[in-house]
Amino acid sequence: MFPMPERSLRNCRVLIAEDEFMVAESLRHELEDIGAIVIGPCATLEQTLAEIASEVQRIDGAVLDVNLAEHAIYPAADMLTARGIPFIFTTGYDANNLPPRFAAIPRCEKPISVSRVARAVQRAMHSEARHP
Amino acid sequence: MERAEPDARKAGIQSNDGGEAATASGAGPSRQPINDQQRFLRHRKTLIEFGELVLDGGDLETILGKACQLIAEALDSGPVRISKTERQGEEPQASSIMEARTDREPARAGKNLGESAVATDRAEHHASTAEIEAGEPGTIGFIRVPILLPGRRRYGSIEVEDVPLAIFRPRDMVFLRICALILGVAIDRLHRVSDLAEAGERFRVIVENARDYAIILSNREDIITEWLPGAAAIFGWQPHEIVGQPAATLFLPEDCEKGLPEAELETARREGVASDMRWRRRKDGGHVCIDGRTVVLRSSAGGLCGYMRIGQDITDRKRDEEQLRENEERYRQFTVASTSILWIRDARTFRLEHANPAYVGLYGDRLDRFRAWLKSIVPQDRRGALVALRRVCRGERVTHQFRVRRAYDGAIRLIRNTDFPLLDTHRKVQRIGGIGRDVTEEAATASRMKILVGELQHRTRNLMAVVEATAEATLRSSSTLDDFKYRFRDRLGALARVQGLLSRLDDGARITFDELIGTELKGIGAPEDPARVTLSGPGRVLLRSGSVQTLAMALHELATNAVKYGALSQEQAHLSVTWSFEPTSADGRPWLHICWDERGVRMPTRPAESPGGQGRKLIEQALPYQLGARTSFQLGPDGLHCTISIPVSRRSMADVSDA
Repeated sequence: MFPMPERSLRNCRVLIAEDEFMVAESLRHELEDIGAIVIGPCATLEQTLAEIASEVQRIDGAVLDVNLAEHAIYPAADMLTARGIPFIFTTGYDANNLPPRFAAIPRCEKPISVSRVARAVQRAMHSEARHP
Repeated sequence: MERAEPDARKAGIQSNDGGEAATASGAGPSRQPINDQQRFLRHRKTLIEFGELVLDGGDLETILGKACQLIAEALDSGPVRISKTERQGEEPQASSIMEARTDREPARAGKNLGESAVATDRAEHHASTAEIEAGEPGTIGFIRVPILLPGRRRYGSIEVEDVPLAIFRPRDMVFLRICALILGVAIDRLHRVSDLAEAGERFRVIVENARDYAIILSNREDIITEWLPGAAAIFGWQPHEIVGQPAATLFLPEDCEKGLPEAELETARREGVASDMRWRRRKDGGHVCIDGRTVVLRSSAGGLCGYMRIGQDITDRKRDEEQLRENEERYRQFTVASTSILWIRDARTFRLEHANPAYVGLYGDRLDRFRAWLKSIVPQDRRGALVALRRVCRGERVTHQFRVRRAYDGAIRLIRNTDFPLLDTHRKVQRIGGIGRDVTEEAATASRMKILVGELQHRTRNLMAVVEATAEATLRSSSTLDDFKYRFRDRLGALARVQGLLSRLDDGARITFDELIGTELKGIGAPEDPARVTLSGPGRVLLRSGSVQTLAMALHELATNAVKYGALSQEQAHLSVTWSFEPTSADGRPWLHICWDERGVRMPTRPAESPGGQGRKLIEQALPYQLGARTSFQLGPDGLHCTISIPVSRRSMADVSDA
């Protein structure tokens, strides 16, 4: 077996915000399969904000569903930005609908490919590492 | 110059004798001396010829020319002229209109004709006198005899030059006067004939060229007697086809039935003339519109002679008018029926020149007031509407939207106007026109459609994600590919059923729980026997659309397990699904409590076959995670006992409370 680039997520703590249980579970499994430690998943904005704010656990990166139970995830995204934590969006909506301040945030449109998400998370985390 | 009485003569006339005169004249070598008797005979012969000449007719010119000839020959004189006195202004002028000479040379030049003529006309009472003027005494003279028309009107005169006075006798003067009398009568008759002919010709020319006018004469019985070219051109009949027919032929049959021909004649007889404008019949059956008069013709004694009709063909004008009226009517109907708001304003004053009923319905009937129109627009949109109008006044075509408080019910409506300039012949903006449409519903629909399309896209993408996740989950828990195939297909079927339910929803509608459970049990082929399955609970508990899919998948897992291992797999077992509605729970939201109860099931002895797996996970994890549900999942000694409590739509409350 070739070493997969995702392997570098080993021991990274990744927050998942995704209200669809099946999708959240699937994402959790995939990320865990490549060595990440999953925080959450969170089904609501409240939970997500609480998880970030509590800072009980270190967060290395995040995968945020743009729309959580009919609430926009933007406050959580802003919070992550403020803390310098890299993240990516997953969305079922047209990507053009995102506010301009998130223009630089990588996004994956649903249905998401978990390997793509993993690569994106990895890339986001590494680019953050270069520009702390 | 001197004047003389008709029979007066200058000295020397009486003394002259015929024979001597011939020699005394000494005029020319061709002159033959003749005696009085011969002269008399010659005069008489000349008069007879003269009479014949007049009887023969011919034109005035011929008669006068011949007359000069005859007189000159009879008198053996020099040139004879017939001059005409023309009255121009106050002064009579003489002009020679005819002259004849004998074949002999004139003895010598006569006096200036013009001068003598003017001189003789100097006094009116001399107008009818003849005069003899001596040239060189004893040799030749000049004689002028007036020509009078009946009524003693002066026509002109006969002027004879080179008269050999030596042989001139009083009877010669009588001869000349007879000639003048005959000429006077002949000229008068010719004048009358020529005047008549001229008038007739003039009439003919006018009538024949007046092709736009039909002139028709009829007799007392109103039978057509004269059919002039204008009538033929307008009606199509040639004279030989129509002369002899009753004039009523020209009326339309329906007008004949109404007795119009008789009425027209009666009016003409009573009033002298009857005017009307109506459609008439042409030879080809077509109709022609005639603006005409019927004039009654009476003899000088007052008796009825017949009728004259003079009419003008105004068909084209009439058709144009009718076309115009029809166009206007068509446009009126169009604007009245139109639900679009149609209007025309003066570009300078903004005065409203045209507005259809739709306009009045929207803006009210204060049509004269531009300010009233402007005030009906909501304040925030007024400036934009004005700016658009000004742009149109500058020649642009503008489509713009604004909100209006509708006149009759005060409702705020969104209006989309297309305004355009109407140009005059100099391409200046004279008016501005507009077509407005109430797009309130259209705009609402469009924005709803935009949301719906976005939602649909969202839902589809989420569904794909769920399908993918389901595949992943199924794959993780499947022992073989066949196992995966069976279970994955089964779950896809359940997802499809839910999508079917969701897609039936109109905007804002909700799925009820009884619908959902009924669809799922039917979908997996559960028996409808009440001994095996009972469902009980209130209808119309509305589920939140976001929770339908997850709940449906959980119920599907329960039902699948029941079919495989539980109550639906064994004849003696029973499944009971009951539910209740709690309008206000502790958190203030309405809740639905579901109880899934299997009884009489012989439970499998081997743990591997125990129910659970995906179903248990969904009940215990997914529903709480995704829907905030409270759940329990217990395997009892004779079957599964499971409870699910989920918040439901607030709109359920009113509906279910009376259930």
